[in-house]
Parts: sequence; structure tokens; C-alpha cells
Amino acid sequence: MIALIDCNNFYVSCERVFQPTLLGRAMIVLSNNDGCAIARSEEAKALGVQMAQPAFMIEEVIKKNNVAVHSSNYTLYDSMSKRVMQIIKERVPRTEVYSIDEIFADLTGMAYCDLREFAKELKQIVTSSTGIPVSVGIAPTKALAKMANRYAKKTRPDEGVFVADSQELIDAMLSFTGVGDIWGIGKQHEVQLKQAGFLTALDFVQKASEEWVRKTLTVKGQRLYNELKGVSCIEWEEERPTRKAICTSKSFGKLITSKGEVKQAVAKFASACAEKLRKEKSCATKIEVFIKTNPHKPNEKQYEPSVTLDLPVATNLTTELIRYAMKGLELIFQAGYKYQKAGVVVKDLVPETVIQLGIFEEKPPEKDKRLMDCLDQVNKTFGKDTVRFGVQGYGKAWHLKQGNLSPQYTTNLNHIPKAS
Amino acid sequence: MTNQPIQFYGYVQAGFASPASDYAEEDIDLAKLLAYKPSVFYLRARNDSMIEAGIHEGAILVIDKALTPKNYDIVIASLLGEFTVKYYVKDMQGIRLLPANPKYKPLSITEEMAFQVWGVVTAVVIETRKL
Repeated sequence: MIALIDCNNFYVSCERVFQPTLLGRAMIVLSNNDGCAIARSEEAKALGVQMAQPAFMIEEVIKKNNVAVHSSNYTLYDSMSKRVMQIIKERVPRTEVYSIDEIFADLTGMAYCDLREFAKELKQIVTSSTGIPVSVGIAPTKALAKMANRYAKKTRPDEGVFVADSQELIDAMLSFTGVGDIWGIGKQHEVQLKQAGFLTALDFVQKASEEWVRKTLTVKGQRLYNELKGVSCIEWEEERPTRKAICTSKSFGKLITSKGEVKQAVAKFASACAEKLRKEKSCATKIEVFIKTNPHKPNEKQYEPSVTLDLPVATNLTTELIRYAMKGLELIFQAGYKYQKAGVVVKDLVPETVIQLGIFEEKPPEKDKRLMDCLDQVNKTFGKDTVRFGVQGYGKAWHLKQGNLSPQYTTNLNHIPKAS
Repeated sequence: MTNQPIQFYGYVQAGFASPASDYAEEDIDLAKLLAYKPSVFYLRARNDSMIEAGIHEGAILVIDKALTPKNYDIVIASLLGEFTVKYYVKDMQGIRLLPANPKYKPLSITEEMAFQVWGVVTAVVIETRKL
């Protein structure tokens, strides 16, 4: 059997652990730059706040109902996520962290355990240790475990546990779940399934033929179909494979027209990409730079160019990535527009150890590598961006808008909560 | 005899092996002893209400959230939206929070108070010399 443990309203729950006044109060967490709601408390959901709803659209609801609004504090969420995951990893033979707030646990070999008791205990220990409430779904396959988790949340909110260990229970859950709520079924496929007369997950597994599924939903859909029939087809990923691309991009705090300021931002993003690459021990072979104006201001002239450059030698050196990012920016920057966002994407990543040298390229000088190691070390010891390249600048114009950011309660000694 | 191949028997280390190498153990790591669990958090004491328990203003409190409080444990409780550090007592009269300083009054918890034990204080760190 496989368990999926999912943190309830994770970002909201993290904030509540350290601010008890938020308990029971409607609350949302906004995305980077305070753009839209990305986490909602149950009370906020009841008020009709939708996922990903832009903040300006819900201003009235917020004011009228005194909804608490927080900026996203990813440092805190990451710290709390690691704690939750560690507690679970200590208690099951194999796990796979699926996202910041979800983890699969392989319960094979725990056949003699009472799974209901186990799930309750696990839920209790996570919640008492971290303050984060979780739901547990247990079923024969990953897709069914994911569904069991949702079913637990929807039908047993107090208990928060559902174990689908008989066909009868699986069928009950399948018939409860609309096809659009199946894990991995997007909007487009939802429409196709409904047109074909499959309204619930149960219709889908009982009435659709495997051939039809493969033709309509491709091999991925076929795998899902079999998973829902109880046949495990989704592999376990022990370690996340090397990412294909790393993107650093943020909206500016205000609209920017000056080339100098855009340059600073892009250099900073390139530098952040380089640091992430070095941390993952990978190198990029391509770099993309993009800038864009604000599409929500139709009266302003719109412009959103991007350019991708090949890097002659795969690299993770800050110097090189800034150099190419600047080249890219030169190619696309046009004066006279009000820019709202910029970003750098490093792509086609390869492990540091298998860098292909171009025939006419020289080996990256050892000196640069030592410089980077030194740079990372200094910044690790003395704080982010203590040492940086001149072009990144010290200006604040393009910095993130984070109106109501909570302290870093668990990672900064100056931010720990106080007790009287 | 002259064409005998040279046999290779392995390396010989120069110098003297440390006579202590068989006895080496890891150094004491306070962080590991006090706080090496995902359920451990830190808070800071805001005042001297627990001074007689050795908790000075500004002391760092090590808290294990996973523990269930026993009588006379020092706990962190959330009370009316604030964190408070006090002795915890639960008996026939209900739950009380007791300070360790005569200047402060004991508190009896009533049902309508928003009250929750947040964690149990397991250690206190006091800096004796400010940098």
C-alpha cells in the first residue's frame, strides 16, 4: 500500500504555528510580489476566495471580513516542510517528496500493521511535533493514494484519514471523484472525458476502454487509468533527477524604464541562477533572458521579447552567466517601455562532471572555479549577496513587493518568537 | 637473481600513527544533544517572569513541541494570541500557569480563554558575556 501525506493549507498553517491569533480567522497567503492568493484557510475558502485569484479582485472581501493577508515567506515554508518530511521519513521504509507539502510513503512491508492506526498515529505525531495539520490517504497505487487523500479531506475533515483497502472502498471513492479532480487530468482532458460520458472516476475506470484512453489521453493517461484500476505504474523517484532548467524571475516592485535598473535586475537573476546551478552541481548550456511590460495595463505600449543564447561551454560561473545575460539583454532591450518583469532561465542542464568542451574552447580556468567557491563560501558565512558583482547594483527599485511578510521564525535567531 | 620481478606488498605509512586513533570519538555537540529533532524550536524570553527558574530576560528557550506537558514542566503556551512561558500545573482546580517570580501573578485558565500548550521547554541558553 502507498500513503500520500498532504499538509492542509500548508502556507496558512505555517503562519498560524507562530501567530496563534490567526487560528480560526479567515486568512490568505499571496504569491511573490503579492499578486494573487496561493493559499487559503478554510474560512477564506468559505468566503469564496479562489485559488490563484488576483489580490485586487478580492480587496472588498478582504476588507469586509477582516481577512488576514500574508506575503509568502518561502524561507519559513521550506523549514517547516523539511521538518514534516523528516518526521515521516523516520517512520516508513521509503518515501518520495512530491512537493513542498506532499510526500508519498511506500508502506510495502508494513502488511502486519493496522494501517488505520498507523495513519492516525502518523498524523498525530506530525501535528504535535510541528503544529502543521496533515491528511493521510492510503491506497494500493500512487494515483489512488492521492485520491484517497482528497477524499479524506472532503468527507472526513475531522479525522483526516482514509484507507482504501478494499474494492468497495475504492469504488466509493472513485464514484465520489469527478473526472476533473483526478490527479493529472487537466481542463482539456476533463472536457474530452465528459463529452465521452465519463463524469466520475468510476465511470472512467469501468466504462472507458484502455485503447480509447491511450488514443485520447496518450500513454500518460493510460498509466493513470491503470493506476486507478489498482495496478501500480508510476515509478518511485528516490532522488529528484537533475532539473532541466532553472528560472529566476520576479516582477519589479514598480514599473521600470531605465536600462540601468533592468540590467541590475537581470544580472542579479543570472547570478542567482549560477548559485543554484553550483549548488546542484550542474552547468547550463543555454541561457534565456526575457523582459516584459505589464499586460494588465492595456493602455501602455506592450512589449515582451525574449532571447536564448547558446553558451559555448556549459557553465555555472557567475561571471560567464552574467556576461551572456547582458549580451541577451542588449539584443532585446528597447527604450520607451515600462517594464514590469524580467527573468533569466538557464536551460539544458548537464552535470558538472560531464562538461563537453567545444573543440575551440579552452578549459574553464581553475582560477574562476576557485573564485566561485570563495564567493559561495563568503556569502554562505556572511549572508546572501555580501559579495556580488558590480553590475547587480544596490538599487532597490526592482525589489520584490512583500507588504506583509512574517519573520523567519525558524532560520534567523533575530526573528525567533518571543514569550512573556 | 638479477631479473626477479619486484613484488608489491602495499604502502607503508611514514611517521607514527596516533596512539589515540583507536579511541577517537566525536566531540560533544550541544546542538545535537538539545535540539537535534524536527520538533525543536527556539523562542526568546521577553521578561523576567521566570527568573527564579533561571530564565533571564533575553534567554533562548529550547522547546520540544512533540512533548506532552507533565505537572511543573516549564511550557510555552499560547494564551489570548500571545506566547507565554510558565510552569504548567493541571489538577482538580483545572489548569494553572505559575510564574517563577513573586512580582507576577499565577493564572488560572478558564474555558473561554484561547489557550493551548505550544511546547515544553527542555533547555535554556543564557549568554553570560555579550559580544
